[in-house]
Amino acid sequence: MKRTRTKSCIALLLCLCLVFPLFGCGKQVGNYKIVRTLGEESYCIGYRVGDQIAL
Amino acid sequence: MDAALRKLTADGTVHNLAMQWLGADNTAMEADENALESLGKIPRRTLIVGVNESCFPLSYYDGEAFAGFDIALAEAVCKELGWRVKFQAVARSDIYVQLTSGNVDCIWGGMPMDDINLDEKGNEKPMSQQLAVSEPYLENEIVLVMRADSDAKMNGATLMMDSGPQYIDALERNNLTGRFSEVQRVNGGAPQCFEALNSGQINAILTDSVALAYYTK
Repeated sequence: MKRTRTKSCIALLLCLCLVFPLFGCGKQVGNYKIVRTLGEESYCIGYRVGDQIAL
Repeated sequence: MDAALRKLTADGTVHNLAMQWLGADNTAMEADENALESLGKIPRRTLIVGVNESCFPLSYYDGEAFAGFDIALAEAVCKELGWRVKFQAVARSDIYVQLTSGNVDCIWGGMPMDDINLDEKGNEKPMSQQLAVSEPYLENEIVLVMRADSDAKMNGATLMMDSGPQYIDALERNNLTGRFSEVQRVNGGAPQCFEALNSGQINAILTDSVALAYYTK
């Protein structure tokens, strides 16, 4: 029982060791990494109000 | 134009252009193969489109002509409607004046319009000063990017970004302006930023996720 618990603790520590270096690295995209996302925006088309070309 | 966009979404034109220019299809347009049928006869005209000339790869001036995803899509829409199209560079701060004065017929090309109908305090403008805005057709994120093989940390890094106001605004909103050893604002847009990043001239760039998608496709 004690040995099983020790093995579980070691396994958990190993997982954390593998995961911790990934924190702060950001998301890798090809040859680049996104360190932080600073904002979001939506692209739209702007018209004069009531202009029929929008239809 | 909305009807033509729905038809071009249904026949795969929008998807093909997105794959060509953005490397992925993250567009959000409704598809309707028969959308143009309800419009009847469409009068011929020339559509003057106001564009951001430094929003690579959506709309940019390559030295000879305008190019990019938005440009190609506007050309496809006008072809579908039997219209001629002309492009005119418009500064982000001049959208309202250019449209209401009649200098351009629509604003389309690298122009986020999340706050176009809000005043400086974030309140809604009076109806007489508002513009009609389509549903969003593409989402973008402003991202801080480094080379994957870089060991540089954000604190003390050198940063390059386009001179567009949205980038410095994003930096200030996130309280990051003091974190870098040097901040360069350039007029060459994403191509200049990625060139500097790839050559090692700079540690980090602030750019658009749509531009990052282009450079990693």
